[in-house]
Amino acid sequence: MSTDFLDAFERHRADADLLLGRKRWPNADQLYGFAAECGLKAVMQALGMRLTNDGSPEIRSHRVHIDRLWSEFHAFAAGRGVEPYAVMLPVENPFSDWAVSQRYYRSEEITQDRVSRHREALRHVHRVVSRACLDGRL
Amino acid sequence: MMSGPVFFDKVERLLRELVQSEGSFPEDLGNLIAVRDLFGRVRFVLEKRPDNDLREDLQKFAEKVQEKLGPRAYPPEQAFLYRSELASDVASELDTAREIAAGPPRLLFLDRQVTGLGWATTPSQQPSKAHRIAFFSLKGGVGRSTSVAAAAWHLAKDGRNVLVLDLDLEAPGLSSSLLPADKMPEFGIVDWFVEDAVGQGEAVLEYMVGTSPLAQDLEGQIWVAPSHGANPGDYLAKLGRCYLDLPQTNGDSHEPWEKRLVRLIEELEKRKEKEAHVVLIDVRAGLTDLSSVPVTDLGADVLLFAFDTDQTWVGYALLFEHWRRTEAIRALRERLQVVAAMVPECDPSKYLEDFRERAWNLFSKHAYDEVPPESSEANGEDDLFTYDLADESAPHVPVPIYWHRGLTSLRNLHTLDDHLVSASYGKFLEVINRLVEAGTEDSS
Repeated sequence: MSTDFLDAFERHRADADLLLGRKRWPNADQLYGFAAECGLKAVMQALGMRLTNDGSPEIRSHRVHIDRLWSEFHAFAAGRGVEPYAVMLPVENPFSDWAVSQRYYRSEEITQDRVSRHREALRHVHRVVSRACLDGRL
Repeated sequence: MMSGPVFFDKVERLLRELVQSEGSFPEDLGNLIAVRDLFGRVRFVLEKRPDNDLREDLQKFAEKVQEKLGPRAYPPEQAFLYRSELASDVASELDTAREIAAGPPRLLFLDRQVTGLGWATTPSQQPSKAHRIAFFSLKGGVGRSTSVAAAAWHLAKDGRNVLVLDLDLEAPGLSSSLLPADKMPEFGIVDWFVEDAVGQGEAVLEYMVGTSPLAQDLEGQIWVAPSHGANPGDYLAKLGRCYLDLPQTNGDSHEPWEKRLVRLIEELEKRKEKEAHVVLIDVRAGLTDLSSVPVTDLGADVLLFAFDTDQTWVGYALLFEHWRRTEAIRALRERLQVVAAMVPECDPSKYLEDFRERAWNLFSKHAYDEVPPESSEANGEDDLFTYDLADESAPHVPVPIYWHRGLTSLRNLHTLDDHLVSASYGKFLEVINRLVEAGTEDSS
């Protein structure tokens, strides 16, 4: 078994879209958050983020979900002189209201509106991933 | 089998040969876009993931590519990307790929670069009320900044208001020659960049243009936006932040720094209470990203300063070759004019004659249309952009600026002497007049 952030990004994104199509908002929303995290981690790994043997980021501040990873990505990319990727993400984290603990919430608390916003926000991550692909980093 | 290393410049030719060899690429797949990534490796973009029955053919094609290009190719399993799977605005960059083989299959090529993309951008069609002229050279020390001052002085004498921009940020100096210390505005161009990055550009815009005393008795005005202000502060710390793209913030989309520079220039043109008729831009020397914006993005006339040396022509050939290859030359060539800088006192006519010939070689190879042998006026030669060596109106014919002891010993340009200027700059200033007048006619 090995970590493949890019593959995980594609998978979570596709599955989230399936759930969204069936109006399964809460789990679609969770998967959009995971997809965003995996997309950014794929790019960070391509830009030099090291992983431990178990496949998780070596640095503790990178071992976080999307509600915290968004700003970490900005700091990481700026520090490596690859701002062109960082500037493709808005400064404000659109996943700041997403949390992995929301999997324990009651279904009606995760609304269609919230999922739509996160789906829209994932487009930014998709752009970063696409750019990194064309650039040959991924 | 691949023989020896495949060097960067061989890639296009090898790709062309490969797709042209019969049956190497499945016909039903339409256009093939080759993307050369930041590392110089090539992979291909197809519209969408193909059906199963084509996968084997694609795999074979990718293997052939790898065989030909070696480390400049991706492994076959990673050789393809699919446009439908890329974010749409990133994928739209693929539309700028240029054709390198007509096909079928039609082969397009896209270069992803770390920097230097600006040199091939299509010039902005943004209407500007002011006529823009960019002063460019490959190297410093050609008297470019002094020529900017002479042109500004001449135009102001003619009653025109001139805005001068010092965009030679890495080698500031024009500003201090046009503006004595007590006339320097509070802020400079680097200040605008660092303030604009946090949304405060507007606050310095008011205080970054000084009025040059060079025009104090003249009918027109000379306004100067210097690279730094009266108190430069930590200039290097600010300079290091100029070439920064701005991320998307609420309501505003991501803005590359080149666009920010264009925005600054537009703001400066707009903000003077009295309208600037002409904008003169002192451009950073060399093939840097900062020089590319005024040369290609502003719709400006571009004066190419040069000495008649091998070094000069080799350098210009690199730039012109790139323009020809990317087809940017078509949009640019009507705005170019060569300037022979500091023509030596000793046998100037021979110097200018040699200069003209070498400039013509450059233009005829890269910028002028080839005249087909059977061509005559009747079948459209008039539409071709081409000039004879001797044609005085041609952009390759050097506009001379004569070296003059008096000018080199000038400590500053606050006071320019009429005789001195016309002896050295007579022809040059005629050309400046011609450009500005042509621009006025165009916009009226």
